[in-house]
Amino acid sequence: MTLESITTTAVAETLSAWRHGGQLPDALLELAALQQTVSRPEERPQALREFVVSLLESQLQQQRLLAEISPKARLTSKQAVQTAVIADFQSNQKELQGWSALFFRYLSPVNLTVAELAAAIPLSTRQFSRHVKQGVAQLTSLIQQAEQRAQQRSRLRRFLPVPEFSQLFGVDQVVLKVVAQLTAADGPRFISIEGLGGVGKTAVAQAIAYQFAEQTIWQDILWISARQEWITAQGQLEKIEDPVYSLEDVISRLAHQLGQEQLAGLAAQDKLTRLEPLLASQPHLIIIDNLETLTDTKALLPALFPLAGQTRFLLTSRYSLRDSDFVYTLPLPELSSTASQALIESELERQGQAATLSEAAMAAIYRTIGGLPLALKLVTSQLGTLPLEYILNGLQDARRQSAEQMYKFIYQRTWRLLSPAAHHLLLTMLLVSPEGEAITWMKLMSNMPSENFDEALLQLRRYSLLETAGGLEEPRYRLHRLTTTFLQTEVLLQW
Amino acid sequence: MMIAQPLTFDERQHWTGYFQSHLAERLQWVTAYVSAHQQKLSYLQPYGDSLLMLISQACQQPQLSQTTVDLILALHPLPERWGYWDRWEEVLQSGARLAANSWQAAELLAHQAYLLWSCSRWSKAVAVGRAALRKAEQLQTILPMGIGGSALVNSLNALGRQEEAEQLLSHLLDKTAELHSLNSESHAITALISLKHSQALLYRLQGKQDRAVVVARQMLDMAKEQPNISPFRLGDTYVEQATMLWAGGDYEAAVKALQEAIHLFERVGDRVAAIFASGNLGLVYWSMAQYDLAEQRMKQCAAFCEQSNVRWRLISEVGNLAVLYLGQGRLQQALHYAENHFDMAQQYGHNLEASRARLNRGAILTYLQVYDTALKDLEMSLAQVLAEGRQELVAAVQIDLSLCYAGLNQPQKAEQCAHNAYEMAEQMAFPGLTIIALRTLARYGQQEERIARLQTALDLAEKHQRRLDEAGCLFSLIGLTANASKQAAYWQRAERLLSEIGATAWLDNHSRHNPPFVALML
Repeated sequence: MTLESITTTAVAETLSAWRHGGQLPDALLELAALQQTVSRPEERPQALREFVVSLLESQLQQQRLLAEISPKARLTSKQAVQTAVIADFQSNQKELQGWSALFFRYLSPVNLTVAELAAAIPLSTRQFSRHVKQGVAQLTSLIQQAEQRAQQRSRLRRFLPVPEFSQLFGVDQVVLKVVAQLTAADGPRFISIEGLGGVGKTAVAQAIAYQFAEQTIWQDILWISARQEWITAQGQLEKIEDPVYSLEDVISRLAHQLGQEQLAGLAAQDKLTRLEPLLASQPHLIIIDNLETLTDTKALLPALFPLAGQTRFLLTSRYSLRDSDFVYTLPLPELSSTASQALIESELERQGQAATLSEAAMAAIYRTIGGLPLALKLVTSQLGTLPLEYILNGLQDARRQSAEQMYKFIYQRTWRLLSPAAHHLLLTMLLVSPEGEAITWMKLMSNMPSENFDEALLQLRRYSLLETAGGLEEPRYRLHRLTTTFLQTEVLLQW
Repeated sequence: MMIAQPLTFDERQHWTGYFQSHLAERLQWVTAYVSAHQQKLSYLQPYGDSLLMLISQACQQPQLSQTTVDLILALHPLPERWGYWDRWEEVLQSGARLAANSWQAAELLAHQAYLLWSCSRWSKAVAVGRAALRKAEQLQTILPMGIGGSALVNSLNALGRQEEAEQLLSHLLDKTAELHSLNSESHAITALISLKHSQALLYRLQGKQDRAVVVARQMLDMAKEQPNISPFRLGDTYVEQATMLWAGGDYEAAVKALQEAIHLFERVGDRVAAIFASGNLGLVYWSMAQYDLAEQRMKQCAAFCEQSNVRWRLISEVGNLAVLYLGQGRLQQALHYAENHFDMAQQYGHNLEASRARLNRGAILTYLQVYDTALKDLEMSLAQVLAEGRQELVAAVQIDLSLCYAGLNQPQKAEQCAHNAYEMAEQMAFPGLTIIALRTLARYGQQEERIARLQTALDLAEKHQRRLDEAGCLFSLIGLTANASKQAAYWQRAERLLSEIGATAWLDNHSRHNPPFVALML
């Protein structure tokens, strides 16, 4: 919706509908600020009310702090409301008077008439109504600002993949460091986050991108990534002719995300020449994920270099780019002991387990597994069922042999803990896209009754055997590559 | 409790059997499900990756071969309509292997050959098409004979093996007529439609535009009469007909056919085909000198191809954009696109497009007056199109060569080329070609003769809505009249036309006393 359509009339009508129980006008229900928090249209009226109340309450709180008015106790009686409104008006702060009049007129937990409120201050009803009007104007302006921010956020997020994590552990310092480097006037134009597969490079890049989407530093944030492999009809894992495969593809994606469709069909070099003035004059953050999957990495960076004026590049790569002297490289190590502990605690909480582990237990887990996030998750998920000592026994031997042996050991144990329904669903996951699938198709492919399916899904989630992507609205589930390998090599024969 | 023990052989055998039977049961169920939802492309599309995954798992199980093949056939052509060209081609190949010697193998090979031809992979299409035909002839099945045969004929044509293509087509038409009664009516008609398409293409290559248009009409009538024809196939038939109508100069009918196709594709959620048809529409608008509309459609299609990595289609779109900018008189921009067209075509090994790119580059360089370089391109192009037997292009190169020789001060050669082109144009019912050949020839001879040629070209250009040619004729007429008011009238009319079509770049550095020579384009 346009900011112009957020009018004082629309705001007043909405407040009045809440106060008097009438039909809520549609005007404010399309706010981008609401769409980011709720997905279903029927949830929007409630979300709108919560949004407006929180805006108003936070303004009241701030203004009262400025006016040195002590916080109010719960307003449960007419007298308490009258005392509060009197205090607000005695401050002689015009803005606070507007917020106060508006709040108590329309959103007060105890309803008082305009006459009652005006009499308490004391003011004429007409004078009080003027303050309410002032409050509506203030609120309208505040909603417009919030909407502008929400639209900006949504615009900056439009090319970003939905994060696959709800919380990240042990990368705060890395995120802070990269953010600082990217925003420093004399900072490097290219930053590369590097490390082994699965160590969390993409997640860190996403965290940085989402953080920037809350700010107005960048004119736009662009994200380019590549899917890498496809399982052929012969069951072979093959590189595919992937949408982002070469320098030419990267440039085409950049042009497309920058809205420069008129460059379609031009050669890569011509496109670069025409993109240069735009990117040099307006700061853009360009993230290229999985750089190592491109066929011509060596040609790519020097070609992109002229674009990096005000624009900065954030790269993720399995291979180090330290040979390129203009790239600042940042290796991403395994999780530290503290971060591993935080991850374990968060996993325990996710599983609804109130029990906490002693420091000694935490240290024992870290000694055995190290800072491998997936292994930590898988082992933590067994804690509710098996004693820690038992879990770690045998795991130590396996870990001593190799990381692969350790994963095999963990998976074997988890497999034994699964219900028949969970076994069935886990095997069914071999029949859906490795990129992830929606519940609708998973259900059809599992051919399970709903209650069994739900139970199996919960169990697989509990044991961290399913990865999620695609957001809350329509999550997509998939197996980690290591889980797939376990099923193919340790459960099935000759698959 | 030894619960971290590896699974025993018996356990693994149990789970393997369990998984196999689940896979078999779901495969059967999905096959039935897909057949029931064939017309609801957009409904199944979100699950495209999973459908391909299911097939890839099933392909590893020999005991599931029959059901796997059934599913592949039930699913065809959806995945290719969703843009999984390469992956689907591979699935069709695997399916054909699983189907061994059955009619299904012939059908799968035929579909594979057709897909390969559509993606400009002609050499492989020839090999697969021949395999499809062998099986089809063995089994006397008409459907793969038509589809695979058509892919084979079209690919041979594209490889410049016209004679072979013509003989094969004639054989296939006889053979399908002979087998008609032994096969189902719908299969026989589908096969015939495919072969008619090949026939129309062949006529077009031979410069027999009127025949091509007639055959395309027959093809569409047959398709429309088919009670259960898929909207995809019908849409494709409209697109194929539009190509012939366009080449025959009936632009309005071509626009209508393409709009009908786009409507059909959009109705079934076939976004890719709709965008490609829209790109074709851009080419028709280009011929009608509606450059803004043409650019919009072509750019949209090119951008889609870039984002989806559809190189085989992107190459031709880039070529179309090059000629579009030539039409607009934006010669440097046209050269950029022509260079990129050539580089991409060479990189992809697309000889036909490379030769088209070289020809366009030669023409653009001629208008930029870089005659020496242009001549090399044009001479190579002439040799190429002569070898490919592409009559309309042979005539078109002669026209460009005529201008180039004139620029190089070789008037006799220039005039000879103009005559050659005109003679060829007279043999072909291709109005666009006739008009530009007349415009070229009007550069030579006595004044009255030149005026007469230009007047004929002008009338034809008006009739066929070729407004750039109209303007071109008017500019040329200015130089053939001494009457100042006539000159002014010609200039004003031509200037207005260029302004209407968005090609005023031709007026840069020109005036009534020094009118431009606007491009001669097919």
